[in-house]
Amino acid sequence: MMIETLFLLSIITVLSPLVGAFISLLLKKWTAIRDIFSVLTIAVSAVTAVIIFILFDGAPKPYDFNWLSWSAGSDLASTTDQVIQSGFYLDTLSVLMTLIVTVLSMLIAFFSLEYMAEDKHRSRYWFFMQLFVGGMLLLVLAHDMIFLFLGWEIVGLCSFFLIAHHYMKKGEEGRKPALSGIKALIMTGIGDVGFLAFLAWAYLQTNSLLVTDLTSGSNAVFMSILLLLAPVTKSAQFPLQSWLSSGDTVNIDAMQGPTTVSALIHAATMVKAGVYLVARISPLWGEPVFYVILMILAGISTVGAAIAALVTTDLKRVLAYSTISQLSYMFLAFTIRDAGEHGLFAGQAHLLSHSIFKALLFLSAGAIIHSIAEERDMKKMGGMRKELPWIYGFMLVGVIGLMGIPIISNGGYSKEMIITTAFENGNWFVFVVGVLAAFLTALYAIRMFLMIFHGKNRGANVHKPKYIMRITLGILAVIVVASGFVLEGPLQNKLTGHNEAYTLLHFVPLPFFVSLGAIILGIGLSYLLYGKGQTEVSLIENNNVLRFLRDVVAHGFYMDHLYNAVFVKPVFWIGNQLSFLKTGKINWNMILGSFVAIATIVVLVVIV
Amino acid sequence: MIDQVHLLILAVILFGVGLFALLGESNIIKILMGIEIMIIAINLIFIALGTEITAEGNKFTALAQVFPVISLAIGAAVMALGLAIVINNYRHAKSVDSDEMSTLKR
Repeated sequence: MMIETLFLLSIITVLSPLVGAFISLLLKKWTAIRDIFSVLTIAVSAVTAVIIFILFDGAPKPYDFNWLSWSAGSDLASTTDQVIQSGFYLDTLSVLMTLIVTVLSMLIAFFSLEYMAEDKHRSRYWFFMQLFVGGMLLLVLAHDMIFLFLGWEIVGLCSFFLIAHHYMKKGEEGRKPALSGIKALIMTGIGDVGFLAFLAWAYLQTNSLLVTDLTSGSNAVFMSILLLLAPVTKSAQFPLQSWLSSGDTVNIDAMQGPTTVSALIHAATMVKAGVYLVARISPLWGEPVFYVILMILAGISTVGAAIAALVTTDLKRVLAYSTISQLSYMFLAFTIRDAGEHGLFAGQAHLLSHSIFKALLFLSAGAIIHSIAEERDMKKMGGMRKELPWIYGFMLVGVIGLMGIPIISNGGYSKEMIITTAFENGNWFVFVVGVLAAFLTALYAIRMFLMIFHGKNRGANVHKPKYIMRITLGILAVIVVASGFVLEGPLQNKLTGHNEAYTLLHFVPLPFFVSLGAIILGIGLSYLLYGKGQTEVSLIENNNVLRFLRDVVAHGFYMDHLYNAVFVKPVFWIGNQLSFLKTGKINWNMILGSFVAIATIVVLVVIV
Repeated sequence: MIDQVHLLILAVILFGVGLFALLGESNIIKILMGIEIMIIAINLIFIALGTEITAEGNKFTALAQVFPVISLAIGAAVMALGLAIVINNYRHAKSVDSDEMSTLKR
């Protein structure tokens, strides 16, 4: 049997990092070879992904095989009446995501050749780096929800190990990464449970786990809530956002990992998995409850995370909060349910452009942090445009993309697309929140930029990074500008299949000028407040109410304190009480426990 | 006559026993035993749900009967790994207390 070229290529794309991860463990003695080999396996995926993208003609292509024959009958060898189908599914969304994931991961891995050069535990780093990429590719290309869930779990597990990468350090420096990793694993675990329960319901309804067979039948409200848990935890939306970035004072979050890991988590993998899941099921899952709840949660997190990014002084945390804000932006786009699926496409376009400019921003931040000896506090930076002129330029491109300046950056195109679509469909919530978020984004992006590069140096010793970092950043900066021009036009035609509708800019005056005005207002206000190298705004420092609000935001809205009081403490309390119960002393617990046990047995006997 | 529902109740009780053994215990070997009991409970649920007892005769789902065997084999490997970690930690720290090995580092 001939295997089709596309299928073969997608198998190679997935297997190359997964197998390479295990081979790289064997190369422990030859460290230089191992590092380059690890980048090469991801590069192989990138090359095949590019070939798939070129060969792909726009029509969805499932490649399935049957396994796990679920036959019921007394005869073990009876023929199948129920099977589980698995396989790969190539459509425009998965092909595009594969391209994003592989190319960006390759660049990030290439960057970490220099960034992680002095790390002692690179063997572990490279293993999980490749496994991470492989898991994400499996998630993206999967046609059935078993493979999707498998990739989902691999991604979650690898993020745990990579966030906790520095746990071997002594004292507090080692304790925080370990706790951060555990926090990420447990909080995303909530979503895993919801997703697994959703799978069981979906299989019960349609007897199939293929993503394309998904329909909302009976119990759709209940299933929607279960399904909602998955993207909300994985993409760190409002109630469960604190694993990705907590308050400055708590400081236990995904930012404890190496900066390249943060770049990988934020740009290509992990948090994009939740967005991808919603984008994947969005045309099939028509339950309005799902989108209403998602819209409210995403609206809260867009504005809340943008405000939090205004307050924090940690460079990486500004970017982390901006990721949450931009992810909610994509969710908001998905909740515009119009007939032509313009909202869906706008969200996917923003997914693409956000991946690229966020990779650029995080790697620039990594280069800055690397060149000033792992210092992340922006209050100690300042005036670095003289020492790091190259990174100054590259980061400026990233910031322009993040703010969404029209015409010259890819973020501009996709952001305009979302706001315009919301305006045209009369979705006022998304429109207002979108414009407000555009204003806040400009405010915090310029604040971050001015605090790092302008003003006077506030006490950081700079040693310049070498070529690998500059080359990677340069490539990414070019892609940020270039991908904008193909986004609305060739790429949209390829993705939606409307080859006749070639328009470079879908221009609607009112939303365009409103959002442009919001961005300019944000830039102006930010320059007014921080332009001369200030680190604090005197208005806020002198006003008691504003200072109180600032402190609430700096504590991460007290979400971690709440979870600690509501979930963590009671579990430990129960454990302690049970532990006491096991000592053999007769006490009230013992009496209560035996009463409950006897009652349970009586009830069971009576019922059964 | 043992019915499907009896097996399910037994599985739930076993799961509770495993959870009780797990909670409030700091001896890592006892924790591993608790986890193993919980896995057995899940396997029992597989067996119970794969069985259909009717008056005409009993029906079995092939996969649901085979799965526990695979699960037990993998569980044995997992337990071997867990005990290996315990032994290594004991040589290093002279303790099997889970509170003292919470960071797993030198």
